[in-house]
Amino acid sequence: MATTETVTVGPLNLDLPRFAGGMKWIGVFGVIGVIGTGITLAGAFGGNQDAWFSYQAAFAFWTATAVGGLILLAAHHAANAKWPTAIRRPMEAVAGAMPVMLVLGIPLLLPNALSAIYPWYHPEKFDAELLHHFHGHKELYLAPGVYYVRQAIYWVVFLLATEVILSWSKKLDEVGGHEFIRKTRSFSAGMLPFIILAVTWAGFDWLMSLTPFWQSTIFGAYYGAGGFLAAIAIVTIACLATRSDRSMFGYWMTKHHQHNLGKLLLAFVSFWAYIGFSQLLLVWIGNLPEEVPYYWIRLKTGWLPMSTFLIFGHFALPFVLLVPRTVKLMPRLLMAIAIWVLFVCMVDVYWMVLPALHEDGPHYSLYNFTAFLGVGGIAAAFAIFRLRGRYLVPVKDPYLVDSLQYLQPH
Amino acid sequence: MATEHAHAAAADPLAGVPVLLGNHTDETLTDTLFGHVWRKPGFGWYALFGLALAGFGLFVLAIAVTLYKGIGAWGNNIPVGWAFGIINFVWWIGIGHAGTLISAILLLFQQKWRTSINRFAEAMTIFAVIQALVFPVIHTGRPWYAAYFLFPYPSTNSIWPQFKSPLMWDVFAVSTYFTISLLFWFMGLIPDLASLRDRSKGKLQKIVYGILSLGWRGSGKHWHNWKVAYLIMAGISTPLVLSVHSVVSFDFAVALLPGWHATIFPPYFVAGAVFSGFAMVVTWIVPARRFLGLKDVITMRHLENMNKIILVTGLIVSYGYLMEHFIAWYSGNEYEWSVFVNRATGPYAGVYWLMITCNVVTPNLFWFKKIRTSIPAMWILSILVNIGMWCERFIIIVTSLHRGFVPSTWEMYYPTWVDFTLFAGTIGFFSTLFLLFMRFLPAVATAEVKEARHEMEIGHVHHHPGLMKAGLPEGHAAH
Repeated sequence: MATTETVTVGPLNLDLPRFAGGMKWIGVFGVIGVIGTGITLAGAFGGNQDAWFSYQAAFAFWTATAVGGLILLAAHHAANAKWPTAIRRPMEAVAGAMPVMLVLGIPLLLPNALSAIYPWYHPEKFDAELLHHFHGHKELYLAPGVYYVRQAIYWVVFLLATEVILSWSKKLDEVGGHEFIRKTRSFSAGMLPFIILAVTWAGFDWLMSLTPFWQSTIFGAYYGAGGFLAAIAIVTIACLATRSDRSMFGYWMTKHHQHNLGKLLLAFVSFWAYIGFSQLLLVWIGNLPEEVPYYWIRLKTGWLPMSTFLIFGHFALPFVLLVPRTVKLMPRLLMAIAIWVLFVCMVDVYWMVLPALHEDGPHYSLYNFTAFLGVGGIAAAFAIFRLRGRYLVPVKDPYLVDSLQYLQPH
Repeated sequence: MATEHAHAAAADPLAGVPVLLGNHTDETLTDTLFGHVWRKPGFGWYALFGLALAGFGLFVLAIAVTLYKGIGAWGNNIPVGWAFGIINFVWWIGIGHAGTLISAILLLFQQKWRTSINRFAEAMTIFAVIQALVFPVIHTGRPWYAAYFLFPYPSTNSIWPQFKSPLMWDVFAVSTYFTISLLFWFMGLIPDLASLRDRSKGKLQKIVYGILSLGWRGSGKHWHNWKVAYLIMAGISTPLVLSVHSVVSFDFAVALLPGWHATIFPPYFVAGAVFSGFAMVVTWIVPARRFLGLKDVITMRHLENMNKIILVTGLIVSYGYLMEHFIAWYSGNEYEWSVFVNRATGPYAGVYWLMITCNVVTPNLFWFKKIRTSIPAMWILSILVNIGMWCERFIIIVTSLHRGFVPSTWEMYYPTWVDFTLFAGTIGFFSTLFLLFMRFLPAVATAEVKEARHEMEIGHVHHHPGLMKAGLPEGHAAH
């Protein structure tokens, strides 16, 4: 039952109900999530490597997306931005999936998973030359005990940042005023460096170490950039999908906010391409035996079509489409582009993970799909569930008025 | 309406100092912001200008010695075939980046505070790029032949530039950068030049400013075209913020030298460039706002925001250092790791630790609002950043070159007096151009500040779709 409470902020009398719906979507996503995750994990524990790698890719993708949402939220707070106030809730929702991501990540910490996925878990299988390279720093760094300690650190950072920001957001809904905004701004600014370091090293651990003799200093930024872009895409989709319901954030999104979401998509599609290009160019032109295998597998085998697809699908196409202002202002088209961007971000993580298993080219399996849909379904269901009982617009935020009267320059 | 807005601002306890102080009208703004162009400069300006000219003299001297004696007058040797020349080139190019960032990216981000400082920073970009270009051109040895090496025209001698070399890419990147920055800066100046033409008393001034203002009459059509062109220029400049220093970073990163070949180089160089650029703006703007009487227009809000950008970009630079060091260690590549050990403990360790102090440690003081808003603190910290960023280029270039893979090739590098003189000379030349700029052109984009003032005073009288949804009549600014 919706409880209607009139909230007064300045001249605004927003008689918005607290969110009591979403059960249909929680049900749909939950069922997809449980079935998908169930099938994938059943296959994985049954000894199927495709299932383990798919699960690892899906986990890495959706966690990066939740972290991306957290960075988006924290960065807007840190920059004292007022314009996104009306559409802040979907950013919080994306970040809010964080606790369930930890739970979903637990199977990947089990010895079965490490053994199936990471070559460094079995150094005894390396030949003499590789073993020689492995001895020393890498052996120490990639020892399972040290690996677990690092995972604990990442999750403390992610969960602390998310839960503190979300709990203050809840308090703000109750008491209003400037105090919680001030605290959130300072806390967000202070946490951002730690979140970014944590996601960088998580990228090294989860994805880069799949190829234990390959390394790239920009890898963490590449991984983080993909998750950040996916988070913007989800926020855009969520806002556009809820345009007609007055109690939802989408209704309060003006065309000026929508334009900004389109611009953010454009900017971070370009940023992803910039980071990806930097890495590719420097590895390709250097042509060093210890660096080049990563791209050799992706460019000289059956993986080439997917690599080419990423250049066009992840960059060229959305870039060209998002440049004109008119496109960013067309809700349906922007929605289609955001869904596409979310999809290509998934393909990107798949492309980072699966070549470590199949060096000759893609071997598509059912698990590829069940894993992404399963982990994503549970994350989405949990994120929507957490919104229940909240106002979907920060009704007592003192900057809601500023956000609603925000205008693009003319 | 104006008072309503004033109340709203006062009611926001988290709002900082406004971007415009005092009760200004268009007229008082014209007088304040053009004042330094009309006033006869005081003793201070002449003293500084004399000092800068003396520095420019050093510039001429160093170039004369270099041309007379050849590049042998510099401390370059084998293996350090590339030292002060490229260090100073990268340093100056980096300093220019604040201007491009402010003109382009902050405009697209709708950061209104940029209007008070963009002119200043854009001028800095142009003057800094001029200094940067001196080094590679002189380093060709015989600059009058530089065209053979640098510009791709079909030579009768079949000498073509090496298109696979990032140095070649640099020629395109930097020349595009210079051209666009100059056009952007000049376009922004046109309305102000027209005001100067109309308001100046001297005949010569009227003629010169008249020619430069290209027949600007301030009609609606002029403003419309100007606005469209300005936005297009901002769009063109935005990729330049990233591309120029990315290409500069390729100069090093495409090589296979330990310490250079790192994929993080492009974004980390860009961040370093913006870091040093903003530091240089703070270094100059702190005294300039005082001596040119611009405190109402360049307020603590501007200074604090710039310091925040210095903090953020400083953290990105630190992130770059961390990635380089970590991956060098993690890779287990002895050559890579030994470069980093050598940087921290070798013969140039002093420079390395100065770099770490100035770029990683001291910028973190800007976390504290008290320091961010303290004029002496920010001025000192900004100078430290410029020192730190110079040290960074020294460390990257010299330490990677001076100890190669085989110890028999190891050699120390020591700059000569000509190296130091040329570097000091570019600082003199830069200061000369800057002081002339502050003497003859408005240091603040006056037309844009006036526009910003009108917006603040009159408020929004547009449709507010968000407020209409909340049941408020359209056009009502809610406060």
